Amino acid sequence: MSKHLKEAEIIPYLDARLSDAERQRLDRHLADCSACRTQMAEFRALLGVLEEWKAVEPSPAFDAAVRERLRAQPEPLPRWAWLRLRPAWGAALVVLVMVAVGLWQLTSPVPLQEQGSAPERAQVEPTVVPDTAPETASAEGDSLELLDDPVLLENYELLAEFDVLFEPVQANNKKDQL
Amino acid sequence: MAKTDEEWMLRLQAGDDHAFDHLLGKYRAPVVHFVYRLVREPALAEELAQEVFLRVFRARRNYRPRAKFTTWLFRIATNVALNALRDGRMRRWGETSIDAEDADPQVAQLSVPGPTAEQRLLEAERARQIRAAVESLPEKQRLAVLLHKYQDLDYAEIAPILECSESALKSLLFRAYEALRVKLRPLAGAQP
Ligand SMILES: [Zn+2]
Repeated sequence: MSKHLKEAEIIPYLDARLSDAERQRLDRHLADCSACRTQMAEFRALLGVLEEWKAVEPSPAFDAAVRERLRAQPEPLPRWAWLRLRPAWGAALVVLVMVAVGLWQLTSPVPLQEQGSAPERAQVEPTVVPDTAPETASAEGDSLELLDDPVLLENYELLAEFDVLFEPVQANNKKDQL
Repeated sequence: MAKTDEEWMLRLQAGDDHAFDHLLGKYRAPVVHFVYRLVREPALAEELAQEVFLRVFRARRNYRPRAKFTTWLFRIATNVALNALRDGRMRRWGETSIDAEDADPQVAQLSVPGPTAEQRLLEAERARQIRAAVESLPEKQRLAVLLHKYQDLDYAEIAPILECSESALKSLLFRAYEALRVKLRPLAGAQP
């Protein structure tokens, strides 16, 4: 008999998200194995049972309430606003470094040509940290762009998108007073 | 030609207010459902879901269509709901409003006259057991079930919300449903 169903393929099987070949392989196993067949039937029944838990519906005043709260609560200054200053800060830093280097060259006894030579530069510059991907970055496919691209983790614009998650929103005062 | 959510979000970004109405119309119910199943207090769920859309609107200029809109939206919703649970807003509501059990829509329906009050009572009891079983799951498993089973998002949409890989998500879902299968076996054997 073929191998029992694997954990990670049971839910995709029920979701009809397996390839035809994978599905056929599982179907063949299920035809042979009553244990897996029972398990699969129970999962299917469970998914049906879960349907019974109903949620509440939004009130008819939902959209109006959102609009009202948008009007009532002034838009806070985004926390990432300082990032927009970065180009200016960067430019200032470059100028500062150029001035510093210029001063150093004027006062340095070492001839300019030698400063540029490779061995000396190696001494001046800090060891370059190898650009390795973080462990969370796996090679699982392109669907997980957010996590698979380590460059994005350094991307302030992307982080700014998620900054909204942590931005404090004023509690609804009317509700507080209830 | 129908626009994608991402295109609507970009139109909102460009200042088209109508785009916000479109996104509200499409996602107000899914967001309320999701938040309700996490905090299970209807009025609080409504307030928090509004907060989610407030954040969507306020973050419009920073939205980049790299992530799917649904991933972005439910990530915000997850954060808003979990923050509310953690900062004790739940308790505040518990003290000041009617008991959460009474607020359960399936229990609330009991007062509505109907042909089968007994049937409704049975349904409400089954719903309570399902809710309790889902609530007993570890947080990440619970979120995975809510997003997969109740919001019908696909693996590629859910995995970034939970900050895991798709294969890790499939295992997570398996463990969650396996725990539920055991807990809810009595219900599965006796459909109403
Ligand atoms: Zn088997």
